Amino acid sequence: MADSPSRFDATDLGPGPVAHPGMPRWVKVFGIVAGSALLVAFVLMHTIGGGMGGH
Amino acid sequence: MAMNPRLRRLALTAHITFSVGWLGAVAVFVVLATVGLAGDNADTVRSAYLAMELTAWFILVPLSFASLLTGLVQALGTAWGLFRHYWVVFKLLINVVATVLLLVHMQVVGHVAGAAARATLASGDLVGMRVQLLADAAAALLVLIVAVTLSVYKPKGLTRYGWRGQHESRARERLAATEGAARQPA
Repeated sequence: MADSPSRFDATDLGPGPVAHPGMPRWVKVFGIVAGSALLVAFVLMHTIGGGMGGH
Repeated sequence: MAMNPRLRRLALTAHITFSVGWLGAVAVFVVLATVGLAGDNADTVRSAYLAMELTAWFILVPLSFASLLTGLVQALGTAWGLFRHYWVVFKLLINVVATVLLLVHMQVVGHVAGAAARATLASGDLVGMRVQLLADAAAALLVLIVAVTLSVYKPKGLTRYGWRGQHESRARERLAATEGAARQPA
């Protein structure tokens, strides 16, 4: 974290309350990929199976 | 709770050292797991698993905790915060989950290393566990590379909590500026 965040991470839209712009696309993609990878790993470990963690 | 610049640089250096050191140790772990699984020479295979156990307990586990601790110090002691930016949240999740899984993984490491210490491992012995060691290490390496990438690129995106905090601080600054201007003589 060498650099500090810029004072305003989003476009300054002026005074008054501004709604949160929502989750960025990269966060959604990252979440989907990570979730899918965990699901695949879980399924693999249980189907390949008897060998994993066993003798 | 902002740190002064010198302390911030020291904390950053520590965090980078521990985190990248952890990644490097996992890379070594992948190599040892590969040798253990695919090696021809019984002595080499035994040595690999004994080295894995030592590497895990004396390098991987301490570095994972050190990375987590210094990461928390960095987040809480700077303007980045712990829950304001998505990239910081993801790095925290990666670190915590990887550390927990590493501790769980130590049972398998200990079991295989113990078996290797007692007797020569034939190619068919404990295959499931030996494959798991390699697969888990490879997955950990990938995940830590993702964490390093997030650290360098710092993709933009404020969480709701961060967004709220930023707008509140802007409102306070605007109010202070307005009051300051009102006090100025005409």
